[in-house]
Amino acid sequence: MAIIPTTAPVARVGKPGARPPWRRPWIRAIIWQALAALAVAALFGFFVLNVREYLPRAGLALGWDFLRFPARFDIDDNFIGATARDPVWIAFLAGTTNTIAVSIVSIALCTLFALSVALARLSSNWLLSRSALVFIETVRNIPLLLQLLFWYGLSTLFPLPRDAWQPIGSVFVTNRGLFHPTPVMTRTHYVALLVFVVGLAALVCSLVRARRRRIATGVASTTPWLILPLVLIAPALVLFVSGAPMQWDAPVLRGFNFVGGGTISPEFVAVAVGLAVYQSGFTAETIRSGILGVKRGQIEAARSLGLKPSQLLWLVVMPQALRIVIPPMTSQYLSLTKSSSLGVIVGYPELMRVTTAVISETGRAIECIAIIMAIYLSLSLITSTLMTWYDRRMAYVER
Amino acid sequence: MKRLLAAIFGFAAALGAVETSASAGPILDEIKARGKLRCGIYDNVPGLATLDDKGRWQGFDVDYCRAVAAALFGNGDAVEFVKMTFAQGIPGLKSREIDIAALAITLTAGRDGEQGLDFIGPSLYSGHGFMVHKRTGAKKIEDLNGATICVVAGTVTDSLISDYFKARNMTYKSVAFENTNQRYEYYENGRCDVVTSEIPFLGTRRLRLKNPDDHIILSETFEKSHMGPVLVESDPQWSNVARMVHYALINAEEYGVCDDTLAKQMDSKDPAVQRFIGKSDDAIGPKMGLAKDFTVNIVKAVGCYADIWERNFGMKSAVKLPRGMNALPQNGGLQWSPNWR
Repeated sequence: MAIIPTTAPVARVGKPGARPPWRRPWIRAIIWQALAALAVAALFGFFVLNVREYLPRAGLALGWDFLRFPARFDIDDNFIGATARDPVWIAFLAGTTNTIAVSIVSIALCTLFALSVALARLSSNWLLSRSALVFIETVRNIPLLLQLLFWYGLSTLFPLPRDAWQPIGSVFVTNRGLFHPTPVMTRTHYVALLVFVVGLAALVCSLVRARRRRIATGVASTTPWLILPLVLIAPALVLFVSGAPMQWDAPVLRGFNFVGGGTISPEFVAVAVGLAVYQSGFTAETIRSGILGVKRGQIEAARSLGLKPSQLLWLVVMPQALRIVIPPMTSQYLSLTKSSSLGVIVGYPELMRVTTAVISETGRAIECIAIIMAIYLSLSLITSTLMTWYDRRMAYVER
Repeated sequence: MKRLLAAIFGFAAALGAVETSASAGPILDEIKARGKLRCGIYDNVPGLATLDDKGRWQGFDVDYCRAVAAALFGNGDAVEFVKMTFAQGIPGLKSREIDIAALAITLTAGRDGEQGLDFIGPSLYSGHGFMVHKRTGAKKIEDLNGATICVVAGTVTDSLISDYFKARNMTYKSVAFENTNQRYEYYENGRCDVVTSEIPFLGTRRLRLKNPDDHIILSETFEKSHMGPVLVESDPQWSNVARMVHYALINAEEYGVCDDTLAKQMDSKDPAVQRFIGKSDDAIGPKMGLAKDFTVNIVKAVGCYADIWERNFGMKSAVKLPRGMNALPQNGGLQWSPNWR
């Protein structure tokens, strides 16, 4: 019987020096990485050189001075109170906050709609499930732009300010938006607000601690129930002791429009609802697939333990479905945020509206495009970082 | 998003276009070699650029494009019309996507001075006016305090109106749209109390509203707005040609060389008219690289300035506006041309 030379391969692995350096995996990895980095740098350098070389020839010069000059156009309905006298960079900031605000509201609405539709779609009720299907197919297959115009068009059905519809108190619904009273804030009110926030934080802390304790020892804690009334009573006490009355700045019809109070513009509502409805069609299907992706045995096991249907959904199915759902949902939230740039079509003063105005005002197209690219990139990276963090939290913990 | 793409492509085109045009020399040579003028116009703005029932572009801006093409190529149809929004115009020019932006862009010191643009004309002298819903009862500009105004993002009104109201301690709310047609749509259905634009445009627009009688245009104007075709300021020869086309249109009116009188004037014994139509040895055209009779080609294509005005804003149009500031100086207007010699 011939001896099989089993030792030969072992010897090769044991003596790496026998191989030439470029065959070694870690060296090869470094070489490829370096080449890739070089290629990226070269491409970037090519663009930079190209721009530096040819822009002056085309009569275009790059510069950022224009950011310091007054914007000269008004952005109605912005959160930071920017006016036409403020510099251009403030206008960009105002546009960005508007974009962020409409995106956040829209993402919240979208999640709410999508979850309801996904649950309806999975319902054993034929009518409910089919209605959800029709909704999903409708909103997914009509272009977003048309949907935005549709929602915005609805605002014109509301009455003019002088015939405003007054559903409750000093709240007025008109085709110019929803006008509502805002509280007049004095120092005492801010103190009361602070007390309320502190109370809320204490409540959350005690809830977390009670939960940990219950999991560890099985003993339910009563502390949260003691804190709960304090959260409301303490701020009320502050207001009562200081004797500060609650004053409201109510909108009043003066001339063309309502003056005072707060406004929710039809543009904001159209963009927020339009984006949310459109995206919810996709998100609902993602959630449905996540729920269906939960192993059947898990559900059967939960049923055989005697869990109620709501417990089954929220304690067994949803936590597992979320793990499947979060990565695709991240990209859907990102695309929603980016789609908010269509807001300019229905007159919502978001980032694109500001950019359009600044470009025609200053002619700085390249700088402005670079700025909005940077802003949208940052927004996307922030969103995806948050979602990744949430994904990690939701992932199975190996014990 | 569309505009973002346009700007990125424009930027890419700029890098590409400059590479070729840097060696080929002036813009004028490039246009001549192409055999077609690329003209940026609005998509369906009454009075400026609309398609008629035969699928042919009509309008004040369109006529200016045809006049320049006629001067260059002897053919008013040697134009490639590129539909644009206001905000695309100047980037489109700079990236050389278009040769002329005929978008009724208001001449401002900043645009002419800092942005490297060259304004022809002004081909249209005007002022900003306000159109309001009659039900608001507004008669004067002071009545507009607190009004909601529909504007187009980035236009000169977008910034003018802010100064104007602030100076008078008046407030307003603006809703800025990207597209000028949309702005009138939302004005009409009541999102805004007021819409502001140059007077001739308000006039043409009013006629297209469902009930023109429900809207009034305030007689006061609040700012001047003198508009014209725009070029990039990098080829003096090209600027010269474009400017001379504008002057030729006005001079043609002065000399009575218009649509209906062209045939008669071709046999004129007047040396000034003969020089203008290129029948004398000292014709202007060849010195600028144009045909001797380029003025005749212009008139054949679009008529004289009076013809363009009457067709689009004057008595032959639906709005029937008076010439006003756009009359010849001898009639009390501002549309002048230099001595043709």
